[in-house]
Amino acid sequence: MLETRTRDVTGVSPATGPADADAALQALVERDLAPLTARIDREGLYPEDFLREAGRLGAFNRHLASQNASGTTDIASAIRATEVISAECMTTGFVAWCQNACAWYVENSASDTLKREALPRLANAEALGATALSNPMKWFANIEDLKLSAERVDGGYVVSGALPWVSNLGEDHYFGAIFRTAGENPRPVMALINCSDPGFSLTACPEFTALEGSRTFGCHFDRVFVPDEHVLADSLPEYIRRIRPGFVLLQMGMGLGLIDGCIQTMREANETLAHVNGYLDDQVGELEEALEDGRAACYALSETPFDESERFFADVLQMRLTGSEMSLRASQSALLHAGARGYLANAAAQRKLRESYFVAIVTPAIKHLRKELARIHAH
Amino acid sequence: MSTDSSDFKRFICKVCGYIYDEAKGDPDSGLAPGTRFEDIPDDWYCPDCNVTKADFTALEPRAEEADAGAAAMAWSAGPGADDPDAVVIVGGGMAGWALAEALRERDPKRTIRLLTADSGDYYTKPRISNAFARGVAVTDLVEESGPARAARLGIDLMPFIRVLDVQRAQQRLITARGGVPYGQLVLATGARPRQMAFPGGATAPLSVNTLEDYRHLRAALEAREGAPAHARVAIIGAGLVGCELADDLAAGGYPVTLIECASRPLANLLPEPLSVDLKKALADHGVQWRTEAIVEGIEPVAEGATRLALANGESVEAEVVISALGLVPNRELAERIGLACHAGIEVDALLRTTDPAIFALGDGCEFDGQLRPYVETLRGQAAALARTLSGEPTVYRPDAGIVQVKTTSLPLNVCPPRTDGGEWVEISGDAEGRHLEYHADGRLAGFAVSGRHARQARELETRLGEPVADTRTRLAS
Repeated sequence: MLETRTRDVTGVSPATGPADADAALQALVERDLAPLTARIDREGLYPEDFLREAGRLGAFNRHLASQNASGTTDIASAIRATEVISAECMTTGFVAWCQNACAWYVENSASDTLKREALPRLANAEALGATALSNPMKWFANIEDLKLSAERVDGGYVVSGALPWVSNLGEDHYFGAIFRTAGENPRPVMALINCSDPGFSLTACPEFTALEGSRTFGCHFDRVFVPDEHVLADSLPEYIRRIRPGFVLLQMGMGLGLIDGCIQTMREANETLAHVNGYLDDQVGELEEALEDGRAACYALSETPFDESERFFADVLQMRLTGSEMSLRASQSALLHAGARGYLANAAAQRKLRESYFVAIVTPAIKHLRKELARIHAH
Repeated sequence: MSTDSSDFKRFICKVCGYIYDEAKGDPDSGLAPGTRFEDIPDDWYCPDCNVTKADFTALEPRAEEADAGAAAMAWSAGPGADDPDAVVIVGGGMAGWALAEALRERDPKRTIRLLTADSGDYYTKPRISNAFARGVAVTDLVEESGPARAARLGIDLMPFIRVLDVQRAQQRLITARGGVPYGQLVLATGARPRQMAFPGGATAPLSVNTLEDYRHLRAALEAREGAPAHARVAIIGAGLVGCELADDLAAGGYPVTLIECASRPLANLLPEPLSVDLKKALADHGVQWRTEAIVEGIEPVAEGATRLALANGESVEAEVVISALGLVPNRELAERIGLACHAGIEVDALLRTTDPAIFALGDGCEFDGQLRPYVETLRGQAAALARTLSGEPTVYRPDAGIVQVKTTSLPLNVCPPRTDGGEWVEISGDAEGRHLEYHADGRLAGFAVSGRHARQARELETRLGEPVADTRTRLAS
């Protein structure tokens, strides 16, 4: 029989954007964050009040099964929250990711002390946290050496060294750091550091071209004592295999949100410039389609954050690479759509252009991702 | 201070990457151009990250990595032209490529896109089974690179990519590299080796299903000191893959033990006399048999060896352990998107799944309630499906289902009967092979031929269903 069947489509519904699911967060972004975006970008204003309020709304606990009401590791929902924030201000989206990553380390650690003392406060942004894993990630990929070293002492480690720029720091903020132990059985160990730990100091960085409000500092360790209870992982390879898909996937909220914001900028520009913007390479519809494809792929990958296979991680890295490339494409398009008005110092389009390059260079950068993918797929 | 500027050196901050160039100095910090690194006072700080001189090291430029430029493109090539009418094939094994080739032959213009999780390099899987006997190097198993084949056939190859989801309403694939629209979608997702977890603490046995797997196996074998003579191989499962690999590795000089839970190899496929012949032929070529043996655990022992504990209390030691316990169709994607699946992805006479825009062929699909993981089947399916996809709906007519057993020591061709109301009859048999027929209701319903008779398979195939004379020696079926 060759009759044509009725097309009964019971497949997966198309990915939905973050707007509906996150109305409260969206409202907070519009009310409290949007008025500050230009100052955050240009003056280095740190959006602390917004972060704390977003934390109270539950924007940073969705990937923490031990800390949210549903008891699930909902990476996709965490990504969507970061999207909502990043669509308005990617500096704030970036520090939101820092917050998420720091809590992710503790959630997946073996430290009951930190789970009891730090995790609940990180999950609701009562405590703020950061991730200092750029250097170790590059170390894993054979790009640089580890910059922190430690010696074993009674009850813990004494850590020395310096990290060039770590974001979302402040005098009582937490962050995760990896150091190499000396002596017998030298190995990398990861611990949670608090900026108020004796011997630790922050120094100002030179001015960056964007993301000035991300509280980015140089970190100096002068014999900082790290007690054993603050060790996140001693058997590091196993721990890293567990946390790395979530770590990278959570970053996708920045890129996807940025692209969403770029599309919004293009729409606004088209209200007065549609008759000429039609001559540009990328149109709103094309970017929207690419964004929805990216969301669908990202949320599908988010279903199995604890898949430790190399094959799955290759998909995650590929996703991150696609996100970076799409971000560059979208921000360029946003600026071209907006024209000279988008080039004004306070305009969203030129800010998004600078933000998109951050997506592309923050660890793992495009070059780092391609190097890793080449390694994984090499015979 | 030296005035020879060619002599100036550069030093890099190990923390932030700032470069101190002696020729330029650091005038903002009071270091005039030409200031030697060793002359910088100890209280000087890195202008970008505030560490001291002690954190600087002489700059040694890093060399570029070979092939970095070529590799870059593979990960960043976009989905390309968005042709909503494209035929998109998921899977770059023999079935996917056979369909791409057959469809291109019939339709020179249609956009054909092939997505594959590996490189897309083309190889004929059965050749893996007798690489040693034929003296084929591993590198020569690739018959054509993926990009070369794609260019020759005029298709878009997307290598190293997995399909994460399918939006059936939008006819769109979701991948980590972006969305891919399709007019018609073909799942050629194949099958994977059945894995069993063995207690005992040894690393999991290797399995051989792809060229990549085979490369790993050969690397593992050749890495052994004293290979091949001192690299003992244990193979669990005397099915097609197990028998063929055992025979070929023995031909390569490796001591092989073949462990099978039944009393004879390929017990579900071969009539008993041929099975016994095969067992003897492999034994004559050095394969050690452990039949009616069940592996209960695999534990590491000294010097990189492992011990396989058998249920009867015996054990087998080996340096390399291979698991060959049959195939499982890859139907996860089909199940995820709501297509009907049984053992494999269910298809109708046109090889359509329960979504009329989605088709399936090869080892992953189940036609007429049967899995047919054979090369001949996928070729027939590719030919029929290419016609259907090019606008000429064509019913797939299954071939006789002849199974080739490519054991060089005793090649066999078997056409298993699809009825069980008949009996096996030996037509001729000698030291060099046998010719068995399955007679049901006075007609030829199947056959099994080995050794010098193996070539008769084609002629016998033409006689299937024809009446037979009933004068031959009968065997238990």
